[in-house]
Amino acid sequence: MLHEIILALHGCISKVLHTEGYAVELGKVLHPSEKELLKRIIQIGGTYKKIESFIKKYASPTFEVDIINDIDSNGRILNGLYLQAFCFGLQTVLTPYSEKVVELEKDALKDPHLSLSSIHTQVDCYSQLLAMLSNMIDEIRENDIHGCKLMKYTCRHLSTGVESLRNSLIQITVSLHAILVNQLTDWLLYGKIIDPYEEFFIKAKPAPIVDNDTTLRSERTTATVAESEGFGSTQTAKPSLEYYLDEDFLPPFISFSTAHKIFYIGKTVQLFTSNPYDDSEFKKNSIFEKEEVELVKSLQECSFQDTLSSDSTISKLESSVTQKLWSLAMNEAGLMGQLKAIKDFYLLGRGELFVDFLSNVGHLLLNAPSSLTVRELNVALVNSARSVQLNDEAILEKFNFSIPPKDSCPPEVKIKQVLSLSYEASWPLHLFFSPIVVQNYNILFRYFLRVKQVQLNLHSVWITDVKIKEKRLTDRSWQLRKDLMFLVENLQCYLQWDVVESEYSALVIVLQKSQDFEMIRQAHHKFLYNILIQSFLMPVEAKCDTSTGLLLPSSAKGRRHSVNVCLNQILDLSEAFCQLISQSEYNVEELEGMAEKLNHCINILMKLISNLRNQISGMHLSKLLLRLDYNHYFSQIVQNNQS
Amino acid sequence: MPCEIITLQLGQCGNQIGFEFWKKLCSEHGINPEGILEDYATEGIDRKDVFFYQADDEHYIPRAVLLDLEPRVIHTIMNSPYSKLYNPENVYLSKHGGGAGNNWASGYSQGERLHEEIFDIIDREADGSDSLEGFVLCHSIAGGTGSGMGSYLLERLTERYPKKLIETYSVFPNQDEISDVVVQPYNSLLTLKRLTQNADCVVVLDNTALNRIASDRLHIQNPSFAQINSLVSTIMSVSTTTLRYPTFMNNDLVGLIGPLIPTPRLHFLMTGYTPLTSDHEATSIRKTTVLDVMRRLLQPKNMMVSTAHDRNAAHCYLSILNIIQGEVDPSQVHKSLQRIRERKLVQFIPWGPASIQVALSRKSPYVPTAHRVSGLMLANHTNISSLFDRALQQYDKLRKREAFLEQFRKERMFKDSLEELDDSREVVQDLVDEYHAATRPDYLTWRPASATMQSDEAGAKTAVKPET
Repeated sequence: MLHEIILALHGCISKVLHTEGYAVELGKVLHPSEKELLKRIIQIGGTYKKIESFIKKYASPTFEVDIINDIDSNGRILNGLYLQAFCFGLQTVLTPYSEKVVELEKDALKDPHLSLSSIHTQVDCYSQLLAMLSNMIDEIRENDIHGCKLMKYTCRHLSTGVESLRNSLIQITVSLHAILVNQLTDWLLYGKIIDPYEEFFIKAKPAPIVDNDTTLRSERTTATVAESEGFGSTQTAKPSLEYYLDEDFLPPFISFSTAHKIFYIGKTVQLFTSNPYDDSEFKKNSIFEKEEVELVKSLQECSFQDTLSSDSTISKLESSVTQKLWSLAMNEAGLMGQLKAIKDFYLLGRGELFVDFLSNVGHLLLNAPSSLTVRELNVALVNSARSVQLNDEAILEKFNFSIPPKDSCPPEVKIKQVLSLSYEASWPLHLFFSPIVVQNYNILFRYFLRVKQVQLNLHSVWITDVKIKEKRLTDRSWQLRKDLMFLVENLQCYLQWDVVESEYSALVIVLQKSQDFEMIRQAHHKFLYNILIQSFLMPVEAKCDTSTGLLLPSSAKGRRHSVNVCLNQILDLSEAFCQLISQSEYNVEELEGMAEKLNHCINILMKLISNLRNQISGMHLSKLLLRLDYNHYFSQIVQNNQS
Repeated sequence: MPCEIITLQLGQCGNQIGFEFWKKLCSEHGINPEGILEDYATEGIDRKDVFFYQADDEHYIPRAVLLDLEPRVIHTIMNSPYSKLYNPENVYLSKHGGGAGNNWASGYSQGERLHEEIFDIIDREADGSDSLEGFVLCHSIAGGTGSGMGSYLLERLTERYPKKLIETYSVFPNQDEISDVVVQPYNSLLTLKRLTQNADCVVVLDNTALNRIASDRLHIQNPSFAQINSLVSTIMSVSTTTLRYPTFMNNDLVGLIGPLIPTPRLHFLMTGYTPLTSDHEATSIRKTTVLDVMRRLLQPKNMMVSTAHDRNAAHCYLSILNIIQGEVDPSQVHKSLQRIRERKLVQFIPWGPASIQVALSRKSPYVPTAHRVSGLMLANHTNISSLFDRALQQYDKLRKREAFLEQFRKERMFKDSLEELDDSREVVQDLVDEYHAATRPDYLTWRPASATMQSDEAGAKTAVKPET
């Protein structure tokens, strides 16, 4: 019978002991207390058997055929590397138990009178463990705990107070962790995911077909590795994959922020492998070169219990990656030069270029949008660039005018209202100049271009004015032109000096100091954001992108800033004025009406600015006020109007 | 190419300062005296095409026309290393070579006579540019050729190129020394009329102030022409620097002078420059801020125009443009503007909006300078009228005595009457009056005294645009 018992402890419960716990015959010989003992022993054996069969089933890679048979009650498939590791861990923690059983067998051979109670005391210490493991197995089956979730699960159990159980659980988790480390290493160092069972907390799925111009890639947790965009032709054959972070699968010892770091590092590494500047195979295999071995080692040494050291490894990796990216962006892609070009074009930093452009094709901007006009504008831009000796073809090729598809434009819209300048960022600066960034630049571009055009129109009125030396000063058109010109000139000064140049010099300082790609990317977002705010182009209650703070395209039509409304009225008025003056004959009364309107606008503007500038965010308003009201002329008028 | 400018230099003085101007421009753009681009001049950020045209890849030729009635200065230029710089067809020397004898009337009538030959050159030059924006005329108002022929040219240019801007760099005579040109007051007055009626912008280069600056500030005992001219060429080159090294604003002539000139007749600009130091002082430079530069530019001692103190009017600025070169923190500009206003360092007109505009310009990478930041001020100030007032007084003195008028009567214009002189006096008097009026809030209702006498068709409902 001892033999039977020992076998039972091994999981082979014979007919003698049977399912009832003991056979009828045995029942007669045993004392009730022995019966109880036997029952317990058999229970232990049963649990062991259950665990053992679980291990057998899942410890080896499951084959296709098995999978079909292995559909659990919920109809889901249990498999995976983590499950295998879990089984392996189970096996390890059960080793002492099976050794104990072997020992017992030896004892039983030596001593045929070995009592049930002594057997029981020997194995009873494992009953807790076995029970727990069995529960775990049940839960795993029941809840279909998969992949990285297993770690979450085991770690949750770690909080038990029983030391021996804790140790066993740690052992199991360690074996799970080994899988995680392997996957992490693949991702962190090579940007690859080897995850046939979709167990890792970063997952890949085929990217939806992206319409290049109109659809925006969300920048938050998903980001497309759009191999097609300027990555060179070699990449286009590969289907593009979209990666995302699955927070459900995140092991508890990896914090959310670390997970984002990990996600970011892998994505960046992927980017490096598609570096068009460096074709060497070696680089493509590993971007870390000499550091690689060391990094692998330090990753392998990471323990799930010591989050501090693993976090620091991740941080180290992150800074190494961002630094590499930084040097790529700065040195290979020439970020500084590109930013300068962006400022020169989008923000009209090359004034003379747009003076020439607008004087040649400014009239075309009033046309309805058509692809023909866009083509003309593109040719004109290149011609203007040449004529002002801007001969950098590489820069020129990056900028192109485009308009949205015809059906998306409201009727009677003028081309200047929908015109956008596209910028083809060179690798890896597409991260820097993402579609949303370019879109925001275009909001600025259209506005700046308008201000410039109004300014030039007023200049040509000035030329005709200055040629008439005998005219009397009381002439209304002179007075109106003088005031409008002053306002537009100084608005321009404000925009270019107080906003763009000031923000740009701040950005350059960050660029020179920092060696961190992420940091300069954020600084650039801030630069753009500040310019939008200070140019009053940020609508009230605008919907903004959470990560960049930039305007989402949908909200560009929100309620406009009241200062912007007022300035726009002045610009409208200037346009109407130039239009009127250009006619050979005009009604002086119309001029009077305009003068009145202007007066009204100035009144409102002055009040608005002085009301708003005392707010915390009103610094830039007082700058604008200083420009417009330097000699207190306008504020004096407002005062006189009031009294 | 947009915004091209043709430079016309007339007479001895005009050719001298023009010569210095081109020397400066060449060194700034890395062009050698023969017009060939230097090997080091590879940085393509400047716009040479505003003042030069390109003969071939490496060869640049000034859009300059050199005119004189006597050969001395032009010969000096043609014997200098820069002789090959200019297009020889653009150098015009009158055949008889006798000059204008410091007589405005002679210069004017010779201009009339040589009209065709001169305009052949100017028209050819204008046709050769893609989009000509205007002319820059360099001359003095006191002599014969620059003033007389210059006046004639101004009148014809206005007729012939009604849409092109005309800017002049006009040298006003030194009041501190007795001139050997006795008819200088006549010459000045007659020229001033044309500068008022035919030029769109006059940058006044006052020899009185330039000499004072040279002796007081630069400690040169008897400043030579060359030393004065180097000051002048600095002013000329810096005032055109936003055209040649463009940034976001003031990239064409109209963008540069338009905002400075709110009303058409008040188009006489003063200049100021800092730092004014002689070479041996250049070593002791302290850190200069934008505020320092802007504040110094407002100090009278740095002004290149000697204006008399006028008790009768509260003179004020119509407009100011500061062109700042060097490393500048853009956010400092706002702070400086604020500080200047707080301290009430500038008095502006009461009848319209006015402010200090600041333009930032790059420095030429080829010309080393000791100064980190330098600045030029172009200002429209009502007190410039004191210069014209002085000219009027001197004219009146001379005219009362009917002195030296026989020289003028020799010419056709003055043969029958001296009406032209009276007329010019009226124009200049009106100008002085207008500047005075501009110090008052009711300036926009001001009418010249001469006009009030004539009845005019007031109250017309429709204004008719003049033919341009």
